[in-house]
Amino acid sequence: MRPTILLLTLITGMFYLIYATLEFYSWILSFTIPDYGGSWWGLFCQGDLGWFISLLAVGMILFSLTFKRLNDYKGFSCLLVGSFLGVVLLVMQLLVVAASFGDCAFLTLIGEEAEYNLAEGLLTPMVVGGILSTPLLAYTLNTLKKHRFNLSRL
Amino acid sequence: MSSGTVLALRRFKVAVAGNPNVGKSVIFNELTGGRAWVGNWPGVTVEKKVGRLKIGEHIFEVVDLPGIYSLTAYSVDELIARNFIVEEKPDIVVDIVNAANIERNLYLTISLLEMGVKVVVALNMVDLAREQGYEIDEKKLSEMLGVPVIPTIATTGYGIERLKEALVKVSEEKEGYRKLVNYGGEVEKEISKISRRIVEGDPKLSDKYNSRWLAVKLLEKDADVEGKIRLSPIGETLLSYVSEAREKLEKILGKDLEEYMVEQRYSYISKLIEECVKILEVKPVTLTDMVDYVVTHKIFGIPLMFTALYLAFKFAFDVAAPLCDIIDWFFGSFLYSLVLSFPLAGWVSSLLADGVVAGVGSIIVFLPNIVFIFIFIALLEDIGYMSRAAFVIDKIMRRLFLTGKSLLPLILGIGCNIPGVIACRTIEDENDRKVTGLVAPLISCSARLPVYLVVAGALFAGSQAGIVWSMYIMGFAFAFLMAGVFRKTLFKAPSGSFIMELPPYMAPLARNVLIKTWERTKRFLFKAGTVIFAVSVLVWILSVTGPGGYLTPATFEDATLLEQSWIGVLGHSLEKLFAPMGWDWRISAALFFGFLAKEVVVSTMAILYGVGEEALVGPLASTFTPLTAYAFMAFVLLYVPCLATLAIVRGELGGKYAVFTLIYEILLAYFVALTIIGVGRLLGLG
Amino acid sequence: MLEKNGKTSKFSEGMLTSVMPLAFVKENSTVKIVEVRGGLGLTRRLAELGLNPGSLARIVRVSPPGPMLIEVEHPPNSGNPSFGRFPSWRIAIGFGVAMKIFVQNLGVNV
Repeated sequence: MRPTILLLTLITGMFYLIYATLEFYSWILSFTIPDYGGSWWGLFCQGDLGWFISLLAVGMILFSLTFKRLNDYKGFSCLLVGSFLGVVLLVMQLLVVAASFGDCAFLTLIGEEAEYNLAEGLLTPMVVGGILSTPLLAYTLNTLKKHRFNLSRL
Repeated sequence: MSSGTVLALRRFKVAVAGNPNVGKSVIFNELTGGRAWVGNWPGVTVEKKVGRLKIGEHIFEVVDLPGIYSLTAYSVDELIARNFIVEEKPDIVVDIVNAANIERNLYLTISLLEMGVKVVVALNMVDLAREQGYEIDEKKLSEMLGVPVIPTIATTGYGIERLKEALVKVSEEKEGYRKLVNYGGEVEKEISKISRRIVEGDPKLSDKYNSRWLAVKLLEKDADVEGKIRLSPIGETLLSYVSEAREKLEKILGKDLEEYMVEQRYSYISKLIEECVKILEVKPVTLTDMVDYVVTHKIFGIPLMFTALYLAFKFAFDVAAPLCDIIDWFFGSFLYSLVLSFPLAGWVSSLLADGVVAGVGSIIVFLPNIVFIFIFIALLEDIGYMSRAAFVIDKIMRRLFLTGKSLLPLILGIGCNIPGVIACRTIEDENDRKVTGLVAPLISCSARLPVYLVVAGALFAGSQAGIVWSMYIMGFAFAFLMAGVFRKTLFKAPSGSFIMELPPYMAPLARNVLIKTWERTKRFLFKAGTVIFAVSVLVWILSVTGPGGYLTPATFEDATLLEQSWIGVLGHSLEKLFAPMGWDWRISAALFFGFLAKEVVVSTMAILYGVGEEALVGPLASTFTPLTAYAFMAFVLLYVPCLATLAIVRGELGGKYAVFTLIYEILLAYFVALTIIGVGRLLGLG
Repeated sequence: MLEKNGKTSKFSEGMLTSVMPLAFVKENSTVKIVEVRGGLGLTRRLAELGLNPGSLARIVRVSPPGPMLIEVEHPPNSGNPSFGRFPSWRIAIGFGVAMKIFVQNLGVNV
């Protein structure tokens, strides 16, 4: 595994873990401050427990590469599943944004009041993390194809 | 067997058999063109599918047998398959063998051939086998087994035409029983002896069944065959002879005879594999291995599972939201005003608008949520993840007195309880199945959601989301709690063993996902179309009539007039029951109709307060306090499953359990609501 | 590598230990099924899945007291050396079941 990939993976993993913690923190805070909508370093954290678990899962898996041997299939598996999940989170969040936007458009169309802040949906850890994960996933799939999914020669 | 009928058409009966998860249903659909009659095998809740295939002058009636690994007498599925083959005597059995797991699949093939039926083997998923690094010489295999072996890739249709041709060819052939497995000198001697006794002693029996097969089964102590032999004139003598023979053989072999025979079969299969399977490359680690390493990891496994669940929720509620709003507008504004604009008599107008459109509309609004959650789950199932999720969560579920396989029914329950209860069929252990089936209706389904949204919106304006979430959590919490209670009292037997095959991960097929989703959604739609429709009309009728006669739809405008209607009477009589909770007659009436279908609670309340559903916030805020409102939501969550679900519980578990569910849930709901109010008042929460 | 009956065997003879329940075997080990001490139903179900006395299995994942993940291996009883690992599906079995399956621990397979 190329060292640059390893570095990128660790950074991405760290990113997810940090924002997972921030999400959790936001969630705790939301009990004391109603309608809490925090943002850290430009990214919005909804204080949603579900986000917390998802970000945590991806972060743990990617970051675990620090403890693995580089040419072990185990490390590669973590990279594959972790980056894939990161991309899935990205896609899901984009779907949600599209749906919310569409909902808002429809409601205004029929005369009801609605507004939706696109930035709030896009500037999120899920999206940014997903963007970071995409090259990792691409690399992983490429390597697998090159070795025809036979990892004994990794 | 075959009967020549009009125009020289030849009719044949075909059974489709195979292990679970081998693509049997896909091939069945390919053969029958997707059109099949679906029912149940008599006396059990196992699905039976029958279809038709016409090739030239040949007409084949195709019956789909349940997925089985062998033909013993130990499970309902196996007995169904076996009895069908023996009693109905199909002309051909199509055995779907998964090339990617060929050793295990051939066990069934051998068992079928031992029964003496004509078999055509469809060697499915040959592409997957190739991916896993090996290739099967189907000509050699066909030679050794003595039956046609057709390689297929069901998902692309490859090999299906050849399969059909093979069916035609084999239908013309005579029956031929081949002895494949040699059980060894001593055992074979006994088999011949027993077989001869049957042929000589009871020719009718040996006509009906293959005598060698009977002999083998008797030596294996097959309970079903023993039962059949007992009815024969030579029954008792034969059985005692067999018993002696078994003892003798077991002494010689030094082990259990049944075990020995299974070994011999596998030994024969090994020979088959040696001759017919070529390893192209040895793959120490497959893609499935890699993914499973992470997915079943001690540390990663559970967070991953929760992530999958969370994504399912997000997809089902956030992404489906615009569709819900569109439907809401369509029914609530568009259709409603449209109906009112028709020149109809006042009461008809009101019936259609306030009764039907409002009632049914309030249900269809949630259709996108239900469909989306079912799509996501079907997707996870098709990929193969759900079995891993069950595996990962099993440890925790056992502490909660359920099993890993209980996960799917409970998750499905979030969309609609009905497919949730039906999904309990996959749980093999009877006690586990019953317990899961009894607590599944406690899971908060989409029908209860409107109640939460409206009530929480009225009384808990800021923390609406959190309150609604707490209801879902409460549903699960009480499901686990009651599972524990049932396990400790009524179903004390230890939980069944967990044995599950984990198939390799595969790319999902849109067709499979959509079919599965439709299967689950259609029950909800059926309910909407019938029960809810009827209940909405009923509520309307009871609102415009009363003990004093017809009151006109003016009741929807005039509250005092409404109190004189049947609904008012009903509400007031139930009011006393709910007095300790502080719920008035309108709430009581709404709860009553909620029994029939929980979806109508909100629409009934809207009628009773004489407002549109959006404006319910006002009246609700004045009739409830936050405490009584929360207790009300808990009550709606827990009290009685809706009528449709109750009917399913009766179908799956039996009438006794349906009644039991009804009773225990009412008691539980009442008790919980009362406790919430009691504790709340103590804490000074009003 | 050890010569045994003229065929090469991956497993060192010296590592044949006494029989123990499958439940206690460590991850990555290979075992040989010796006996299934359970009801007929259980024995049958396991046999159908390929777990009968004489089968070899590899322990993939262990998570006591939860279920374990094992992979049944095709017994290398033929003269064909490339038949070392015949891919088959994995089976998850509960702890209770694993307690009833008695195996010979053949050691950690590399």
